[in-house]
Amino acid sequence: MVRVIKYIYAIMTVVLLILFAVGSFMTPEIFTSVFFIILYVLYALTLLVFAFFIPGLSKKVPYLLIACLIVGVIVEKSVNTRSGITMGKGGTYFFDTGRDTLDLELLAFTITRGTSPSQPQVEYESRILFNKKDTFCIRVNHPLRLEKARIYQSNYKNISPFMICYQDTLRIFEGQTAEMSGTPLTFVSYDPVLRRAAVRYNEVLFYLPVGRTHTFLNNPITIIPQSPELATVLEYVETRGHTALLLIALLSIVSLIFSMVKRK
Amino acid sequence: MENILLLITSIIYLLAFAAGLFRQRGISLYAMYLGIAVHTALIITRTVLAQHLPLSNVYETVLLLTWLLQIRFIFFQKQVNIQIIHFQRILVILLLLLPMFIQPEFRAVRPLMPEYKNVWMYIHVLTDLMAYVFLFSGFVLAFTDLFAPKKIFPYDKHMDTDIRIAMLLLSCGLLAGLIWGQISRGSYWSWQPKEIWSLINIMILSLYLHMKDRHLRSIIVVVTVLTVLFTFIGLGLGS
Repeated sequence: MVRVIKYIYAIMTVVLLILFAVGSFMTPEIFTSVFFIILYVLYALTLLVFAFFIPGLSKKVPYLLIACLIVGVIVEKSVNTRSGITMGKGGTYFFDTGRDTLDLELLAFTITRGTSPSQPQVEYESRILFNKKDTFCIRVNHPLRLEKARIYQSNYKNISPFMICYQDTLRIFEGQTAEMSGTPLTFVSYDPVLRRAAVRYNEVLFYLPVGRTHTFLNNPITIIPQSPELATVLEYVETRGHTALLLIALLSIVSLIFSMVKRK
Repeated sequence: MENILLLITSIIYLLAFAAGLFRQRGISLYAMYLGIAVHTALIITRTVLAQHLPLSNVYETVLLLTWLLQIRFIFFQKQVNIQIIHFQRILVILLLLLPMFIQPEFRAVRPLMPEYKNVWMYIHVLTDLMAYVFLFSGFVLAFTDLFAPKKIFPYDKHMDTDIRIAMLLLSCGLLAGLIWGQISRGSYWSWQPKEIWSLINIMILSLYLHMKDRHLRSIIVVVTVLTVLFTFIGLGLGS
């Protein structure tokens, strides 16, 4: 029996190795697909069964902990919310997570560059008005700490905001940018040749003409693209269970050391 | 200045290797010490120019890795025979030649990216470099074990120690990398190729711990070194 489990463990390790190697040249999303999640769970189960059959507590513990780590990461990734926030200067973002209510306004975004303009940026910073009362500076390595979440300075980019001229009675386009999330309607892209803007509304794509009046959802509207502006990219990340995961990872390494020393 | 120092270091190491081939052990050893001194000067020069530890790109890390390897091999010299020493020296020279093929824009001193200004980045890179030192040290023995025409002497114990230490340091390096990612970007794991290949390296090396056969163990070490080189140089260029 032990031998069979050992073979299954070895085969699964090799299969995962090959899939990881091949998948590393593809899009990262495949590693969070259902197929891979089933594989991770199966691998964790194999480790648990393997740990059950091998003799000696010092050998069992590393396998048990690594299995816990795999399951822990899957649970953490599925339970915790991540959300990208892109805002130009003066832009606002409202997000109700159920636990936190985020009302953010970008007061300023600054990039401190190196001595030469061709050199990469050395620091970038977002000054944020949080829930209409407190002002915070968010920088890389210095996130805004909430009770069970953090807001990180992730990146920056140029965005082209679209201005809706008149009769947007539903106010659905107000302040919309290409990357804004959290509303049923999102701006997707702009084709400068056809002069059409692609917008997604309830998972349906609409290609709307830009620069002239058009009827959309029974509302006559005019979309006018504005010149690109620099926007900050923040990331809202829930951090529940992170300390426990870190502890399990640390214990795994300690148990590995202990197991190796004992084996020698 | 840097390029000249790099060239001088490589030439001195080559001379030390050549002297060793002609059984001039004394000259070879003194040349090695001189090479290490120039190599140290090169690393100090780079640190002063960049105003940070030379850990931010492949060029800098190769300089540091070869220096650490050389120190490790110098201490290891009395325990191994001359063939192993030759191989160790070739390995260092080959690795040191790599920066010469790196394009100038990847070698240029640049200000640190914001996410690199984090103590966990230094811990992560230094731990991984130390892991590579032990891995390459074990690799020399594994390679000799596989391809030497006759058995020189049993290296099992040395190789075993090196690989076990490498395995632990790689795991610690990965953990430090996770903490760094979480603190700087808010993501401890985002399935980036470099992250995946770091995990692959550990998984392959973990197979070593399950093997009893000496040749299979040596093959695993050689394969791990190849994947580490791919991770370190293939995926690391430009970052």
